[in-house]
This record gives sequence, structure tokens and C-alpha cells, in this order.
Amino acid sequence: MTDRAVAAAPFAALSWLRLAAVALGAAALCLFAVFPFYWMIVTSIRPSGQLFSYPPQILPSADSVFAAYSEIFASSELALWLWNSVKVATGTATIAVFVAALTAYALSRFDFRGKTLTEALLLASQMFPGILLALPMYVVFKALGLLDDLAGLTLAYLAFLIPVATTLLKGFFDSIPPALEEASLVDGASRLGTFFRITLPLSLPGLAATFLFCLIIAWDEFLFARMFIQRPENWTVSLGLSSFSGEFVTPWDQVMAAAVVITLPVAIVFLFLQRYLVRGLTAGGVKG
Amino acid sequence: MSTARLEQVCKYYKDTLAVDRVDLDIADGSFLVLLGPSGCGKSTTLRMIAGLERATSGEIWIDGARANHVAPRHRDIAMVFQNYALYPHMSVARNLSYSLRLKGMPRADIDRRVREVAASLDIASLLDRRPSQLSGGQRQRVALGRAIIRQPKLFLMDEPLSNLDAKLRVQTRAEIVRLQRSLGVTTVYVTHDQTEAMTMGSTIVVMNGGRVQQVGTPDRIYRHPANTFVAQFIGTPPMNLLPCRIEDVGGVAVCTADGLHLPLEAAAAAALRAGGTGRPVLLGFRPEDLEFTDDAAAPLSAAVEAIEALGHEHLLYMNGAAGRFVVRLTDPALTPFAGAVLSFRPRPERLRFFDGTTGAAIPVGQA
Amino acid sequence: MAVAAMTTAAPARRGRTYADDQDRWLPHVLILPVALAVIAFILVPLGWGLRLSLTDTKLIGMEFTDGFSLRNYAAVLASPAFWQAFWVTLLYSAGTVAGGVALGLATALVLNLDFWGRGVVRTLIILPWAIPHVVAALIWQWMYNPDYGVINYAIGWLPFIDAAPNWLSDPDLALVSVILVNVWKTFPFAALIILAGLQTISDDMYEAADMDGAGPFRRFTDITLPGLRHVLAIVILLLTIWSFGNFVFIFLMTQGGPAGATNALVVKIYFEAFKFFRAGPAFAMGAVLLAVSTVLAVAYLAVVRRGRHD
Repeated sequence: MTDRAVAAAPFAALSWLRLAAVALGAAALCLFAVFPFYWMIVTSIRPSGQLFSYPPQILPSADSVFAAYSEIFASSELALWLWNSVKVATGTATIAVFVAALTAYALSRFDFRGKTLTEALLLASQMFPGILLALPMYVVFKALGLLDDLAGLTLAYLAFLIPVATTLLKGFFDSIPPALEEASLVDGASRLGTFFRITLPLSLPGLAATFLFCLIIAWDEFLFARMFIQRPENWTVSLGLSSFSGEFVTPWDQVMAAAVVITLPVAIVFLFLQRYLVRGLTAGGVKG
Repeated sequence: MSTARLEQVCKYYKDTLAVDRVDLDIADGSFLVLLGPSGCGKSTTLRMIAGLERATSGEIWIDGARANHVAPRHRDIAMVFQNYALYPHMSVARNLSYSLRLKGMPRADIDRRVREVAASLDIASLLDRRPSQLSGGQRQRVALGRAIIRQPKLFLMDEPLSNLDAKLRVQTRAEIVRLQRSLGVTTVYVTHDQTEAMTMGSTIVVMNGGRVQQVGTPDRIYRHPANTFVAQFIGTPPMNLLPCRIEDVGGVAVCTADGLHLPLEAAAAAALRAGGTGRPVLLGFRPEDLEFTDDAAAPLSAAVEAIEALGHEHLLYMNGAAGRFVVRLTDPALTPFAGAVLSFRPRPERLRFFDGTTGAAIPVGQA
Repeated sequence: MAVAAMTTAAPARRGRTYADDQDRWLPHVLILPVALAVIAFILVPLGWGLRLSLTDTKLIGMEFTDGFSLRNYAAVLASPAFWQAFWVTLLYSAGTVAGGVALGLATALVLNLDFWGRGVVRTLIILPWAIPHVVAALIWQWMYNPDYGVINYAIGWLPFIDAAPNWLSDPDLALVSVILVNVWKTFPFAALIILAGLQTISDDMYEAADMDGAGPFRRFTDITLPGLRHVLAIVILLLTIWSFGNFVFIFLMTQGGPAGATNALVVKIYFEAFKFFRAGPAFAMGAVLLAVSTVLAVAYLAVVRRGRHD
């Protein structure tokens, strides 16, 4: 029996040594990836008295408590931060998807002058560090009085959400066969009629995925929030959570509890979406 | 009265000329087939008739009105796509009724028509299913149903059979012809399969490289191909072409090459002499147009290189000094073997001549 | 029964390809919103930033001295702190790319094999990508804690090390520490993209090479790596571009310190503008960063387009 490569080929029959090596590698990588997540959860349920004990216990202690969760809600404005983030994220994601869908459809179906330029600009604009956009926008927003305002932040997020949403949605529209729309045009529908009767129903999954992805990006965002928001009553979850960093005495169990609350919804959505995203990325940019 | 007409229609894609000055006259009620290899421009031509592509130049007339800038939905045409293009999120019934709903037909009339069409195509039991639940043949019939339910002026079909397996293809071929004849709707049908074209079409338009090569009935195209491309595209095996020269030998025009010495009849001689002797000419004859002969002075002899036994006939692959050609042998009594040297006399009325440089047919008298 | 007559030569005009009356105006209307958004949110801010970099300005108001001066650029390019920040940014990117690609490649190779539990591994690997940046920064900050953090505890188990490193406060370790966090966050993405690329390499090639006598290592270097060329280029470029703009980890964990050891350009620009209120130099540095980012973006677009023509 020939030895098949572990590293270079997906063959099912492996020699035992190679199998052990793969298992070890897989385990190490998983451990590396998962441990911080695990540590976050474990810390959040550790009784606060045991937090600073040495040596720290790796496994959850026998008397794990959920007190940290109620405490963090009581001692901080976590609920308010969550609500602010929900408002901003859903608002900006809705607008972004709506606006992007129109353009993504045009980019997918039509040829027009300036199309390549638009596509290149959209792709390139996702490549720039956020601060390059944020600083000048700060100056403009300040003059317009839009600073320290959640509505202003919603608007500011569109700067990077619209290009992302457009690129993703274009990929989804591209996957709908043009022949379906042509059949509809021949059958008697106008272009707009075809869009609403045929294209839109078929692209609902793509629209939903893009919406959720924009939600996640907005939820995660820190820099713009940090620059544009001041008053604590306008803090999003990123700002709220970051306020715990660097303090001398940090109630790590409560902080991790807040972290869990903030992470869980987006992590679940993300795990559900990532298949779409990789496909969208490989179709649009990676594999061409 | 013609249902549709194309005049000098051209189509450019960026710098490529996909359709080159095509003229077509589509007679009312006819079954016109656009036939050619892939990339020859037949699908593009069809799409221009549909209005899904704009002609770069030229005129497109539908039912006596200039239609270049008319949107597909105003042209009263129906189209069957190669991959059927059934709406995946709608049931078969809603797929069929889509165009009628767009027109605003009353609900009761729509239901009646759907049931009629479904019955005529034997898909009545599938009305509530989604396209993804149908087999290829069933989808094809739904696509057909979607087209005929509209009772349009013109049917357009873009290689509708190419995704079916061979047996289904033969069955459906006959059904489509029967359907067209009973409905009497003018049909333009695109295919690369010459068997389909020859068996289905009343008029065949052979295309290559964006240009129309020949327009005619199946018989005409088979018997009198307009150039070497048509001669070799139609017919399996294709027409044999042997290069030769026309020479005057003792007052008689002779078609000659190594291993070939063919005195010509009067009409052929006159036609060929008109272009001047000495120019390169291609002699064409189909595999079934040769007669065996024992005559030592036979016009053409060659050795058998290979034999294909097909049961009802033999195909002899000959290799002689004049070149390679194929002969069709249907007489079961004759049993040639490889290496045998055989002599042939082509049937004079079946000979075709083509210009050696341009490939165009040289017309001979009154054919 | 005639062949089409060859009359005049075919005209050379180009045709447009639209199939409905509405197609004449619809595309232009549809791209209007995003075109406006791109202009308003990207071109105008970038242009405005460039304009401001050529002036003296305070961030308090919109007043700035008229005229154009390259004073900010001169000051910035002459300042060693700027070049240190540039160097830090390069190291940060290089470290992230090296670690991210190495781990991503290893993960992709593992995930490409068929084994029981592969789905579980795939889901677990994605977690770092799914966790928000701020959350990740805090978790790692807690893990890096020199006295109570779990990392130093784990190190204490190793027999040959008895120091308890101060990961975020030690100038020699701080940069590596934040790089590690960024590697942890980005390697799942690299893994998934590389995995997609691996799956396009057909098994036939491996089998042919196997029959030709190539062992596992040769198959890797002669088939896998060349086949991944395009995907790796994409991943490397994307990771570099993202690392250049990476703000949260450094800002929250080390604030650019200690002594500028982790003061990447993005962070430095932020502090320049909001801590020291030196807006002019901030915009000038931003312009330099924009230039570098543009080069990277163009490189990325070129690689993507070349892939499309393969």
C-alpha cells in the first residue's frame, strides 16, 4: 500500500503515523482558536473570589455562578449599550442593503460607461484604513453638528458598509441566471417588473445574508464610534466594553460576562453566515 | 406574407463581428432552422429576433413593422431557452400562467388555458410541482407549454433538445414538429445538430462565422450545397472533396488529378470551361454517389484503407492517388477487404464542383 | 436559394446590449445612490483630508489657513517618530501575514482531509473571526495579565522558563504580543480562503504525480503550492491591507506603547489628532498612509483581475 501524503492530498487512507500527526495538528489549531473563547466563558462564571487566585484554574470551578451577569447589568449601562448598538446596526444595515441592492443589480446586469471604474472604486474603498475616512468625516460632521449622535454614526457607517454590501449583493445577483430574466422579458414583463417578480424573490437569501453581515460589521465597529461618540448615554457596545480596558482593578468576571452577552448573538449569526461569505468572496475576488 | 425579415443585420461584441450582414426572410407558418457549429452566430441572430440583443446595424422587421427598437415584450414572440429558464420559485402552473397574468387576463380564462395546454403536453399531473422536482424531459415540456400558451406570432427555440438524452431527443423532436404543424405558428429553431435540422425544418439556414452560407430546403442543401462548408457540414459522413484540374484532352473536358480521370458531360464541361481551364477545382460527391465498376478505364480507383461495418451498410475508407474519400456500400453481397483496390464511376448527375480557392459551388446548367 | 450578397463592408459601429425600453435609463438611475454615496463618503473625505494636510488646521473648527504648504509633510517625513511608526506598521503587517498564512495554510491542509469530526473542527476554527475585536482585545488582555493571566500560568509549567513575562508592558515583547492577537483573529479567514483554493486543485494531478514517483513533500511543493499561487497572493495582500488599518488591538491593549514599540501608523495618527491636537501632521501622515494603501489596493485589483482571465 502506497503512503499517501498528509500534507498534499485528500486521500482517505492514511498511515497511522500520519493520522496521529494530523490529529495532533488539528487539535493544536482548534485549541489555539477556541481557548480564548472558552476562557471568556469560564471567567464569566467564576466566583469573583477565585478570579485572582494563583494558580488559576483552567476548568470551571465546582461552584460556578452567574452572578457576574446580573452584576454587570446592574453596575454598568450594558443594557443601554446593547440597545444603542441594536439601533445603529439595524438602521445602517437596512439602508446599506437597500441602496446597495439597486446598484449591485445594475452592475450585475448592465454594461455602461464607467462600470469598471465604479467596480474598482468600490473594491478599493474597502482597502483603505478606516481612519483615512474617519478623520475628514469628523471635521465635516463636527461642522454639521452630527457628532455625538447615534443617527450621525448610522450615517457614518454607510461609508464602508455600502461598498461591502454592493460587492456581496453583486455576487448574489450574478448567481441568478440571466436566462430567467430574459424569459420574463420575453413573456411580457418590463425590466422593473422582472426585477420585482423574478430577481428579488430569488435573491432574498442573498439580501438576508448581506443584511446580517452588515449588522455584524456595525456591531463590531470601534474606531468610528470612538471618534464620533462622546457622551456615555450614546455608547455602543464596543465603546462600553472598551471602557473596562486598562482600569487598575478590573472586575474580570463581570467584564467577561458583558463580553459573552455582546459576543453570543453575533457569533451565532456569523457561524451561520460564513459559508455564504467565503463563497461570495471567492466568487467575486479570489478565484475570479 | 412573411412573419419576420432580417436585412443586412450585423452584431458587434466589442471588436468581434458575431453576425455579418445576415439577410433572412421567414415565411408565415414555416419552420426555419438556423444551423451551424458553435460560435457561428445563430443564437445571436435568434436573440436579435427576440429583441434580447440590439442589432448593431441592419433592419429587423416583424409582421411588417420595423422592430429594431421594440422591446421583447411588445413583439408578441415566445422563446424556449436551452436550459428552459423555468422560474424556480413558481409552480408549473404559475410558470405557465406567468405571461397571461402579466397581460391581465381574467383568472378563470387563465386557469382554463393552463389546463388545456397542460393536457396537450401531458403535464397536467405536474401543475403543482416546482421545476426542481421535474425531470429534464418534463421541464422541457413545461418550457414548451409556457411558449404555446401565449399563442404568439413567432416561436423562437434555442437548442431546446441539447440537454436531453438521445432517446428523449428523438421523441421530442417529433413532438415539436407535430405541435408546430397543428398550431401553424411560424418557428425559428436554432441547433448545431444537422440531423435535427434536416428532419425538422422546412427551410434551413446554414451559418458559419457569422455569415449565412446557404438557405434552402433540406433536400436542396443536401443535393446542391452552395459551398464546401455546407457540403461537409451536412451529411454523415460528409461529402467527399477531391482536388483536381480541368483539362482539355482531345476536345473533351476532363476532370483530372493523379488517380482520377473523369470526362465531363456537356453541361458540366460548359460551366467549368467558363471559368478558364487550369484553375484549381474541388470535385464533390457523396459516399452513396459512386458505382462500382470493373472497367479498367474507370475514372477513379483507390485502395481500401479501413472498413466500418454498421450492420445495414459498410463504410469504406478509401485512399488513392487522388486523395482520401469514403464510400457507402449497401449491397450485402459485396465483401471488400482492406487493401483491395477498387474502381468507381461517380454518377454524373450527382457530381458537384467547387472553386478550389473560394470554396463556392460552381453551378452546372439547370439542376 | 442564394448566399447573402457581399455588398459593402460591414459598418464598424458598436451596439449597446439592452433588452427593454427601461434599460435606456434604468442603469444610470440605479447606480446613482451608490455613486453619490461613494462620492460623499469616500472621495470627498479623502480629498478633504488631502486638502487639510496641506494647511495648518485645528480640529476644533473648520478654520484653516488658506494657501498650500508642505510644512506638515516636511515635518512628518523628517520626524524619526514617524519612521518608527512606519517601521512598526511594517513589522506588524509582516508578522500578521507570516503567522496568518502559516497557520491558515496548516489549517486548510488539515481541513482538506476527510476525517470524522471535520465539521466540528471547521466550526471551532471560525470562532476567532466571529468574535468582535473589542471583545478579543479584552480577553487577550486578561490572558496576558503578568500576575494572574493564564498564559503566564501555562508558561510556568514549562521547566526551562522561570520568568513571568510582562507581555504588554515589555518593550521587547509588546509588538509580538499584539501580532499574536492579530494572527489569532485573522488565521481562520486565511484558512477558509486557502481551503477554497486547495479544493480547486484536482485530485488527478496528485494521483499523476504519485504515479510519477513524487513523494508527499514533492507533491506539496510541486503541485499544492503552485496551485495556490493566486489564492496565496490574494490572502497575503488582504492581510497586509487589513493589518495596515488595524486599530483596536493596539489601541486598547498597549495604546501604542511602551515607548512607541507598538505605535503603528493608524494609532499614531489617532493620537496626533485627538491627544495632541496636531491635526495638520495627522492629515499628512494620513496622506502617506493613503499612498501606501493605494499601492496595495492597486496590487490587489491587479491580482484579482489576472485571476479572472485564467
